[in-house]
Amino acid sequence: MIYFYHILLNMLTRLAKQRTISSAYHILRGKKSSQTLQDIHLFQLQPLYGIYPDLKKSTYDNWIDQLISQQFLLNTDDTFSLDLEKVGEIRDISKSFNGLIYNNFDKEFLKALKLLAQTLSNISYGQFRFIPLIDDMNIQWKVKKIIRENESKQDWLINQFYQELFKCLDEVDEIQAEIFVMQLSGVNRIGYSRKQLAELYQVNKEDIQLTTMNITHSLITMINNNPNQFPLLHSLIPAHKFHSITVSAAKTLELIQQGYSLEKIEQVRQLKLSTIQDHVVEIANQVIEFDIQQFVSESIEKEIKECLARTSTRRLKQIKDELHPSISYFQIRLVLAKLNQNEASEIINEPY
Amino acid sequence: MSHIKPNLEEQLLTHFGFSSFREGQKEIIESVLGGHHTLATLPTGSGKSICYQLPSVINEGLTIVVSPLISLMVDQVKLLKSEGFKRVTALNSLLNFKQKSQIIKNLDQYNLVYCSPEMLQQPAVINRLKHIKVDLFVIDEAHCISQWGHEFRPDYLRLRELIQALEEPTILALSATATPEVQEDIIKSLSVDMKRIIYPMDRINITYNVLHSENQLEKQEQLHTIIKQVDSSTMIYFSSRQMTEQISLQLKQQFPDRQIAYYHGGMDQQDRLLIQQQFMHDQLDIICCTSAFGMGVNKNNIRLVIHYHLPPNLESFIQETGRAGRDGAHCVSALLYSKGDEAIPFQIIESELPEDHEIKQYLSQDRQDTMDFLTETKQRFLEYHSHQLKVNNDISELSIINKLIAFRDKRKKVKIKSVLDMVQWINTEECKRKRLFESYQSNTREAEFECCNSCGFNIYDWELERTHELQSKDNWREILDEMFYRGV
Ligand SMILES: Nc1ncnc2c1ncn2[C@@H]1O[C@H](COP(=O)(O)OP(=O)(O)OP(=O)(O)O)[C@@H](O)[C@H]1O
Ligand SMILES: [Mg+2]
Ligand SMILES: [Zn+2]
Repeated sequence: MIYFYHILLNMLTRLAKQRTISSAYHILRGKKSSQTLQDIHLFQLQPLYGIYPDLKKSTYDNWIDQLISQQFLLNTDDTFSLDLEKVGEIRDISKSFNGLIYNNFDKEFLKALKLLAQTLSNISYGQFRFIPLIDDMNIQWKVKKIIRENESKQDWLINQFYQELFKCLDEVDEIQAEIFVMQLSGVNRIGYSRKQLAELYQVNKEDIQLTTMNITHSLITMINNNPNQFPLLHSLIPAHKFHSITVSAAKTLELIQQGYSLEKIEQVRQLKLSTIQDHVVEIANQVIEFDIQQFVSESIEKEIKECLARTSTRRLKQIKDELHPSISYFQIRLVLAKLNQNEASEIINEPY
Repeated sequence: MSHIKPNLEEQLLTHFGFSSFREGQKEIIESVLGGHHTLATLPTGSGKSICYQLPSVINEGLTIVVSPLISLMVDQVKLLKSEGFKRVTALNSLLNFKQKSQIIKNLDQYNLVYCSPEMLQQPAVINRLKHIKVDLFVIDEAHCISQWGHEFRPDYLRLRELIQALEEPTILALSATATPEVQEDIIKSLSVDMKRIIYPMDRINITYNVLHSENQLEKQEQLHTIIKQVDSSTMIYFSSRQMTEQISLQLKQQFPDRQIAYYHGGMDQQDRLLIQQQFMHDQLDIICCTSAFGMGVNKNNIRLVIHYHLPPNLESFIQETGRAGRDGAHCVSALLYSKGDEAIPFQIIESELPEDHEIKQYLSQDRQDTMDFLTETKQRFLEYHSHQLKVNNDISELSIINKLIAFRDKRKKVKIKSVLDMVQWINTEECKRKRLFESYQSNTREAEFECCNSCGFNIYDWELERTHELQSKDNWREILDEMFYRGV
């Protein structure tokens, strides 16, 4: 079981004294703003980005209020602090999460898997008429396509799906597999809601959400690493959605690749230069192959890196003060972005 | 329509798998296929939907169904699709712009389109409809047209203009709760001649009970006793979301062997769908719900419907108890009443209609899309009535305000009277069944099983045992095996 409480504390210890209390909320929801995208890199919270997209503000606030009333947390005007002694040991149990990379398609993958399960379960009992428990038209279309393409070998399809799913679930914790399967619907069997599972296991609804997302990410990683072993499940992962930059940043990237200068882009797009710079930082964060040399010379990059090694802070203002005045915030942010990316890619490439 | 008269029984069997019509269905279908505008009443659960679904597959042109509740619409479409009907869809506010345009563009490809009344006001929809052959225009839950109806929906009044713009397709208005007064009003509002096919609206297989109590504690004891004796598919209606959760929790503790859940409009879409389907599949025994779980629900073996709070009017009560016994077998309605319970519906009435200052604020606002200070029902009310008034443009602002206040007061009066009628029914010692349906029909039919508590039924003598087994597998491997028919 993945506990919301642990994940939350884990995030808050990293963000304490540096960011506002709502920064963790935005990260969990996967807010696509430059600020949040930058935060996850600065504080190495990439794996947790967007793992709880429908987290309600009121729910989040309740958790925070609880921490405050236990005197674990002190909220100040522009940031907050944690009493680490009171909190005790904070376990890092976010291992198989891979939010930044997966958040664009994990929900879609899970829905497709659920609908395919429901459909194939019904078909395996000769039932061709049932009410789909996933309303999303695109998902329905996708599942129909799979069924149609395999019309002549339905038995194979059912067996293949069953085998692949079984194999995947066999790899995760027993309790995780159980929680996952309890949410599936099939012939004459309707899955449990998160709320119902929470009651059954006597945990919070939030724990069920995170646990489900955690299994989903484990499955995706497994499937992605061995597409030959899981051809059917692999076909449920949309191939093109691995980057998560905002639409607006994507446009900026396109123009940069066409050789436009930032000033020119500012004119063409009728946006403020600072906004364009935010885009570039976002891109530098996300797109591994993006080269920052055109904005930061090698020598300046070296200077910034040395400064970062000297001071342990991640607060931009402090870093800036340490450096030569001619070095801009923009340049510092770009270097930070690239630095984080290297660290991030190490985390992401860890085996599950 | 084709010149060969289709054999309706055969069509019913091929398209819906039913071997014969239920009372009233054939007469109504023949009437609309013959091109007569028809106003028809049939009891809840009697199969009114077939009365337009069958014509929709027989007719060449389009059948439009106006339906007041989006969830009802969505459920009907899902059900039809799952039964193999492909040319059916719903036009409502749940769709995004692209989906909507897609459906409107291909409107002529469908047999049957469910529509919210709001959607039928949109120029894009109206213009498209003008170029399509609409054979049948159905108004489901037609009592919503009437000012006297409990569920008056101003948007329904605009349907007349639309129907005229469509060169008068055949109209079918359906209801299970339309008094003669409301029937008159429906026909007047649509301003067409209509053939009336009025069947009795009473339900002969429901036994009606009212249980009085001194306070909430006693009420909860009554509930406990009844649930203990009746282990069967049960709905419990509440008027607040919070109470559905609270009592469902309490019942779970009292009855650990039963499967119990709650359902209300504040839950997210996926959870609502899961809970509803669990109930439909008998995976749940008891559901604690608000009226949000209502009209769309067509489960055939519900044996007991309890009202923990009193509904705002007798029509809602008839609709909600009408979920029970749709298979025709015996079922029971139990309304639990503590003195003073009517305070809740009175409060709800107050919160539904705009107050004086809200009316003024509404009119002084120049951009009518920033109406955050108003609930949706208040907005709808003001939007419709002020629009009607402003059509007369020589009318002054002050007199608009006064007229709106007058409308509001009139509406409030109707609603307050409905609650008082409800309380009167609760307190009557005469036959409950007779009194419940007396404003709809001159004679009430004989009850098929027991009649009501006034006529000698004692709910505490009534016991039911569970007939279905709940599945118990909880090992994930076994569940998967069973799901995919492995090693079973
Ligand atoms: N001729 C028939 N034979 C058998 N079953 C029928 C027949 N006609 C309808 N039914 C079934 O009766 C049930 C109730 O039908 P429907 O939902 O149309 O009722 P309704 O009159 O619209 O009720 P409500 O007033 O509650 O909306 C459905 O399950 C339907 O399939
Ligand atoms: Mg109906
Ligand atoms: Zn009686």
